[in-house]
Amino acid sequence: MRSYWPSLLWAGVLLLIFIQSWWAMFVLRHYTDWTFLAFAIVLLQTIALYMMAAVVAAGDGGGGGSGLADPL
Amino acid sequence: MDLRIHFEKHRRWVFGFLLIAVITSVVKDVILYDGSPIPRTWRFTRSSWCRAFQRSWCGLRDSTNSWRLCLRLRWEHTSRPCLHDFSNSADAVRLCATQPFAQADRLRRRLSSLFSVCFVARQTSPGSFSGLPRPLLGAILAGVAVRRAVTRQSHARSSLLLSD
Repeated sequence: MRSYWPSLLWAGVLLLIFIQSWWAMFVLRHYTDWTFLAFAIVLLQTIALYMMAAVVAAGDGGGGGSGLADPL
Repeated sequence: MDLRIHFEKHRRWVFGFLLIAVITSVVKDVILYDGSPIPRTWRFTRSSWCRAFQRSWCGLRDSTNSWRLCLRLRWEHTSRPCLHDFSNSADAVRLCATQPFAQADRLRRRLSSLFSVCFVARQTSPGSFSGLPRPLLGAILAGVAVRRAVTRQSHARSSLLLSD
């Protein structure tokens, strides 16, 4: 596997984002006025973060990558 | 596996999901806390950086007024943060008055320079403090920096090839 520093930097930034998100969502344990919309928006952010990680992380070279092609 | 090829192939997806995450984060603040994360001012001072860091990591909530107590007791007088999540004002007073903050202060100094860029957008936001940080803003800045560096590198490589 050939290294490339922007990928590694992105992975590091993503790790920070995930740590910060975990920390921030811990505060939500005090939140009581839950609605489905609020839950959905929290879930959507988590999904977006997961997809970022899935795209940044390279696959094993055996077709196990993200499966997302360049749109342009 | 060449990470460079992978990065070039997927970077638009990364930025796309990042954009979704940023929009979602702002909408989440509006829905959950009825407050916009847009700052009142973009002028940064040392105290605003520290306040942004403290607000983002301490999880202090305006509903209990504890973060104001924390600010009054520790911040304005000693410029030191409270790295605790106070659930009520009494806890805030007790902990702020008794906890040794040397370790927390060291941690703050180490982390603030690293993370402070992530919390800019929340630094002066009005209304209740949600405890939700703006790490994604930092990610955007980092992403823009990466993109610029990659573009510069590509241009340099292209001009090198042309000169050959």
